[in-house]
Amino acid sequence: MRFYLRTMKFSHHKRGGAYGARVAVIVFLVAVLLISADFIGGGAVRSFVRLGAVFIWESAYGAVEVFGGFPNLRTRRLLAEENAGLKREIDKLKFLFLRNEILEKENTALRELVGLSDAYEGGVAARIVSPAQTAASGTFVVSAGASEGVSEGDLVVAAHGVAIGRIADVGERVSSARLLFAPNEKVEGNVAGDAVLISGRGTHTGVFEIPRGADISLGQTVDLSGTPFAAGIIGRVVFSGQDAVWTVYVRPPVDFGSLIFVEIIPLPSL
Amino acid sequence: MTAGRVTLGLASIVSILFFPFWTFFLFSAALAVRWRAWEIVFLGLIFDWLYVLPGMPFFVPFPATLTAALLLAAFEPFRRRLRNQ
Repeated sequence: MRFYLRTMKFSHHKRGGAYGARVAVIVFLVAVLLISADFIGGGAVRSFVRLGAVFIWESAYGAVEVFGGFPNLRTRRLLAEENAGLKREIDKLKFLFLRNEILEKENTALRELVGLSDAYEGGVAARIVSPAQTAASGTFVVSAGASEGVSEGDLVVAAHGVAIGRIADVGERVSSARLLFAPNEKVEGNVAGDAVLISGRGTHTGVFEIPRGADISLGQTVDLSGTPFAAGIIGRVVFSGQDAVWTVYVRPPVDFGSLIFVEIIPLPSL
Repeated sequence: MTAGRVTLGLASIVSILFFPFWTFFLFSAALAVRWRAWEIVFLGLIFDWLYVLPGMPFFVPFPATLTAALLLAAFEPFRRRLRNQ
């Protein structure tokens, strides 16, 4: 086996440039074939990849939630060394407790969304299946698609009426959304009676300018124009003595790390 | 050699799904430095299909796929020198 591998290695190096060029052409052709298949199939390959990713995300987060995170796993291993029998009992209780906690958390999140569903016809409750903090350029995936009536441009709203994003790409069962404050996104907002244009800066932060002396304060809500939802709260105001305008930083009062459910509100119902 | 490549490949896949986007490019670059790792082009394609949406402000379509291909091409002379040593 080792001899075979060594021979392979040698021949691979011997073939050098011609071999590399052949592989490059094959890789290029396969990539073009995949992209063409996706294009012709109306995004079928893309949807398949996303469904696969959703399956992995849900499996991974399900496992972490059931075991209560990795530090607890370590604790359990130590307990097992001390007393295996006692550990089984503790595990059983801990499992039930954590399950209860998860259900309670989900219940609270869903209860908060019920109000939104009642207020806006056609609202769809969805689960965030991708971690928002890992997403490139502020993209995240939600577990609702065209089959639930989701369409492009719909608002993604977290509990307490805080808009966090817009649906940008709709699949059959899952959709991708962009955060309101994703880089280069522009959002019209309203603060203290003044219309402002908020530019996304990424990392859940938006920035806008407002004439000096405007009646604003830290923690004040910035509304999303044309909707009854908030876009965020004022987190920082930057100005110098000479400036005619103040630069205001705004962020949504949402803990994206623990956000589980969102409501997708169709635009016509607003 | 193979174990390192497989480990880095798996790390790239995990980074696409669970870690900030730049970690994928870090692992891809690490693969491209040492091996002619064509798999990163396809991983880039998966990245694009998962996260890059229409209307995003990129200058080219499939930016992650192209970046992965460029990484492979850019490190080719370096890999050749490594092999000849």
